[in-house]
Amino acid sequence: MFGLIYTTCLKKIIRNKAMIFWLLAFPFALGTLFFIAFGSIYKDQKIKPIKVAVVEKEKDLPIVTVLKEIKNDDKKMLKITFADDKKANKLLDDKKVTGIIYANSYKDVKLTIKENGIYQSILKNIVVSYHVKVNNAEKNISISDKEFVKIVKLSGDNKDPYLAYFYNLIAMICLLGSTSALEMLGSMNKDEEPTGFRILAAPVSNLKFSFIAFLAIETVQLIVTSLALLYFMFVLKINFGGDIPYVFLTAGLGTLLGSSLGFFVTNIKGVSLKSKNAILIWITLGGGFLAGLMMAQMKVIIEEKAPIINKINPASVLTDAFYTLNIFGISERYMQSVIYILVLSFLFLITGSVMVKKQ
Amino acid sequence: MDTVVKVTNLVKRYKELIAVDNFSFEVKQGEIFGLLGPNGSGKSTTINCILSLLKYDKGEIEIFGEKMQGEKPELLKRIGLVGQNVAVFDELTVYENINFFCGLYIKDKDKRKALVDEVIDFVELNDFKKFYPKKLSGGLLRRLNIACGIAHKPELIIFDEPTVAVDPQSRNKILEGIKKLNKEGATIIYTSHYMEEVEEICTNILILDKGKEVARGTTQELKNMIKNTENVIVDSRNITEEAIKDIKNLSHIYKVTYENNVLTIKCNGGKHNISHVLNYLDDNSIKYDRIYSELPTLNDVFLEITGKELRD
Repeated sequence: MFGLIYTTCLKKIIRNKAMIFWLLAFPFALGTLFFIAFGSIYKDQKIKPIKVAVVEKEKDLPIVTVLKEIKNDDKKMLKITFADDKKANKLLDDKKVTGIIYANSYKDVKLTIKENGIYQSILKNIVVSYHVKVNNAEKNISISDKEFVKIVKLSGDNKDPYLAYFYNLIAMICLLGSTSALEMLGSMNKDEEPTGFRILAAPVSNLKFSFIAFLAIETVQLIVTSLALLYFMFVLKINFGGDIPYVFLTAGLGTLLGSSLGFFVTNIKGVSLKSKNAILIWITLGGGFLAGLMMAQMKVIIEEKAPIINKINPASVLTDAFYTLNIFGISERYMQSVIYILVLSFLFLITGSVMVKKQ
Repeated sequence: MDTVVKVTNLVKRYKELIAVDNFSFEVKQGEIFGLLGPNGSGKSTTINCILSLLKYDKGEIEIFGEKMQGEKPELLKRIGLVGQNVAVFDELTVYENINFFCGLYIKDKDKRKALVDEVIDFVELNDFKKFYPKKLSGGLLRRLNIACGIAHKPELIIFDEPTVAVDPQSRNKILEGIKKLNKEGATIIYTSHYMEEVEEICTNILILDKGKEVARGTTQELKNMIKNTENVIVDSRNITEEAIKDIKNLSHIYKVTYENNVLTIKCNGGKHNISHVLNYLDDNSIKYDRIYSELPTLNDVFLEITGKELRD
């Protein structure tokens, strides 16, 4: 019974040309569009040296030598301004430098940044690598980057917009799974679809059928999202940073969130399929807009004006997970995002199941 | 004869509207039971209650001697449903659709394959197995719809207005199929607002209107309930008020109406009523296009009891 329902649901989704077209066309077309629109800007930005202020408390410290070596490297990665504490902070406030490296002593080296972004991540990695080497040289101590990096404000207003667009796009692809869930599970609605009437009159548990259909939807979503990720990574050469398996894992969790959102909305009682579709379009497209899909700064504006929206907007939650993975790696903050996605997904699934049972 | 369906004092309300107003009926094994009534009379609501797809407010429903309430998979396995709307998936072929819906009842693959092949033969869709529903004509789609509902060989089959918007040829095929299924042992509940169909195939009929029972019995029993025994119809453009009065005064005639150049004469008993009317028309040199006599239909039963036509 499981196999029959599962394969039938898969066939139903895969053979729905309009649905498959949109599921595939949306990520590939929009991804390519973003690549064409922002790719050249990004390339230009990538070769610019990172401006950093260095506050020396002692002369001839090894960190300064390291920084100078990087500066003089072929890639000209750094542009160093030596300054006192006050001047360095003014430069940071005026956004004339990306961060301040405090060279206090051989072992006491700290980085101050005000925002998150690729450049800040590079500076952070330089400081952390320096500490790793110093500590390894003396004694074997595990190191956390928190000890050396002071993040003044987490919800930065200069997230790398190029990557942010792609994070939002992946979030959108994941959430679009909700519409295929509606399409598939909607055919079980006895008030809307004759097939729903026939299925409900059959000796198969409504909940069981819904869950098998949900698994089929999730399978298709996983495939579509993976294909899109592979296209972004290997064709458009987008560097998502972080661990690639975790990027896929995060996308997988995103599809779970999307499909469970669809499962929940489909099973709301007393609302027509058309209205449910409208609700999902609002959540996915509207949520995508608020998460910065059309305008990268939107998420920052929302964070400042109504941060609760970023907490409940599935697109924002997913974007955050990708962003924290890229900036902080497999960190506590990333795990928080993962747990949040899982909790939200299970809430949608459990509430949806209760509604199925009530039918 | 065993009772297959027993509905006792069923009441179903939608807020203020009483869709099913306290009626009872029994369907015996091997019969074709007709639920006849105009749209909104409560036929489909009754079917939904029988299948436990709707909660009802009062009453009791028993199927195969067991109470039908809540999830009853063992009972549902013995029931087949053919609704008025074609309930198939556009993305599946004819064979896949039948196999899927049959699979919701039959787990065993080999058994299912045999049943699917058998029902495809039965509805004569052998040449269309690999076709998608969108490529089928209306009549073939209806046959596919029926195949999906009966493939698992149910003992009780519910046909809920299966011939709505079907061409006459396909309708005849469907009705023949239903009679064949009945001959093979299936008990059938057939709902329709087409009296001719109910009259043609049903062994027992319950007539509903506005959720209430209007009458019940065999076709003959229902016809015996009314005084109308014969209708004489005259197509003519030359009927005057005086002629209508005169015809009404002929023996065994109790009602005469003249609408759209059609004179309808309702008779109560008597023989040779058409001859009496013919004689009058000839004696008075009233020209007519045609004249014929017909026996009362279930529509006449409905009309006489409720004062309105079934199709109203």
